[in-house]
Amino acid sequence: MNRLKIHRRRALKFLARKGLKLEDFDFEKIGSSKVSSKVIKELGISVEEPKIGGVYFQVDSDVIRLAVKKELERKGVILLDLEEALKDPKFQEYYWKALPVDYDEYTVAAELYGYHGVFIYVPEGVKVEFPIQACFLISSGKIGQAVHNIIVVDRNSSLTINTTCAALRGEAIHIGVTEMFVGENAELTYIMVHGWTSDVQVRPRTGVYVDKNGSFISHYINLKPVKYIQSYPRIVLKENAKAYYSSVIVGREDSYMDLGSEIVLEGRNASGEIVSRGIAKDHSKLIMQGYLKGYAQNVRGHLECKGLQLSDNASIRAIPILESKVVGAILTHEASIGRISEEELNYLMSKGFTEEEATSIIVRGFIDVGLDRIPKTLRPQLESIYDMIAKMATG
Amino acid sequence: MSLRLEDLVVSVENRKIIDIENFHVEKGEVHLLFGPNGAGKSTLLRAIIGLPTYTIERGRIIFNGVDITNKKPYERALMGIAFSYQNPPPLHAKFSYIAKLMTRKYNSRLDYISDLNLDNLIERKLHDGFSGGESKRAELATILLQKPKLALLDEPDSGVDIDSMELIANAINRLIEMKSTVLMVTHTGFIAFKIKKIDRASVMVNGRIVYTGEFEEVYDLIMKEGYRGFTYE
Repeated sequence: MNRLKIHRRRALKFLARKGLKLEDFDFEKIGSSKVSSKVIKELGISVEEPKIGGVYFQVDSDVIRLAVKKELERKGVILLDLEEALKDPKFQEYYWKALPVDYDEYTVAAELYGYHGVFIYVPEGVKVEFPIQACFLISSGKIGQAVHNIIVVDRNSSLTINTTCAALRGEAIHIGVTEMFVGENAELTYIMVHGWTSDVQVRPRTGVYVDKNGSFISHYINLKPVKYIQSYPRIVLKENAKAYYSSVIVGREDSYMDLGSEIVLEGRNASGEIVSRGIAKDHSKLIMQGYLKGYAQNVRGHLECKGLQLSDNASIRAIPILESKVVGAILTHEASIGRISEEELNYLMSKGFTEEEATSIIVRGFIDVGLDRIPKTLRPQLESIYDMIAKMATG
Repeated sequence: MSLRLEDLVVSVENRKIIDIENFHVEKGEVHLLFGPNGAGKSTLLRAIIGLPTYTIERGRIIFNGVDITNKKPYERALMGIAFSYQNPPPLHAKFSYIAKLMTRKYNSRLDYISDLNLDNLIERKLHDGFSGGESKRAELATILLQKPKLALLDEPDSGVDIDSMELIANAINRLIEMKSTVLMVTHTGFIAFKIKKIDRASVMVNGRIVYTGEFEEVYDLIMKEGYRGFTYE
């Protein structure tokens, strides 16, 4: 039995055990071309843009744009629909390697109901200067979008991926499996912005492997209401590898957001940092969990988890977990939940800002986890998202 | 007249702190406010900018002919009153971000920040972990960004080193060049000798203004007698 069939069989077995029902959603919906062209225009996503290295754009279950700059293609950079990529046996080895197919019902659903996903391969020694843009959009209700992405950055290479996932309207489910492999001395920067609608359920499932001396930087922002999102990326670090995982989560309306991450410091001298900020408004519920596992000598890990409560009807649960299995692992954390201080508000109001403006400034400062590690070309986009979040906090 | 206080009584948590019958500062005047610890000098400045803990029990605060007694702090600031804190709170927001917003609001320039030797602090959260001198200079920078008609400075010279003192004095001189009215609380008055001009000074004891006169005269009296000689009649 070939490798791909084995995964499918495991998934079916799991499903039979769990009795999962996803029939309510249409996982085969082809995106409306009218919506697609409108969105492309609005987002200005195009490989012709000088500062974009490549584009993958999926609406519902339809890949509507896939292109990579000629110059990158010449250097051996591969950008494909995953279904295409898996036809090549050498890429099959990455399939369900960072996550098992039967990890949970959602990985299984991605295997059985999923269509497409982005596959990126950066060969040894290639530094991709401009980010590759990936976008996953759900155009209407009753849609199930299950995608599987694989990103491989080979030795001594570097890549930045800028991902946007959004829904336009309606009750829908998005399942996104992402497996990332960072080779020796390689660097991967992964930015993900989520902008869902209040009826959408979201289950990203992410596994990352970072080889010796490799570096993985991730910045995640969730800025719009969502029905239920649950995600817990797992990052495994080998010797001397580094990871920095930052996230900004904004809970609005009735959103239920269970978001965290786990860094496994598996190789000597590996270091990892998790920095998260959560804002809870309206009736939202936020669970922010960070888990650092020190499994090798001289590893270092730090976890910083801060929540800002803006409503009596909302809730925040911050859960920092540290676990060590060796002598010499140094793991630290700081977690806090607070409110906007009167003193800060009064200070800003005495400088001429209205109460709304002052609140917005404080929120803006709270969510600013620092973009020093993010490529300069992407900072303005993220800064303007921060501005938007700060405005929303007062609205 | 820039500022006039009429029969002003201010309390904090139901305790009367300020009781001033009449006090005024002329337009463009640089006026120093002296007084022993706990006299109510900072409370007075905070009441003038309108911070909520300071309750006006009686009387009026008139700024440029307008009664501002019931105006909100931001309204007072936008009318042209700027207040520099003696001990500002640490903020979540970056200095550069606040400064940028202030330049837009007041149509002012960021140069003041460099002039006060604050370039190395601009990307940090304002007042968060700043030393005493750094905070004082940052406060003066925010004051300059406001291009105020009336600057209320609460001990801008306390606890700062000689170099910071020089920069702070330069900033106050800049305010004078802008033709701002300045009402400054100071303990020692040392900064006075680095400032281009000082018109008058007052002494505050137990929440009351007990003496107002030419700066040199008031300063000499304080140097000779301390505050013991000043009582309210």
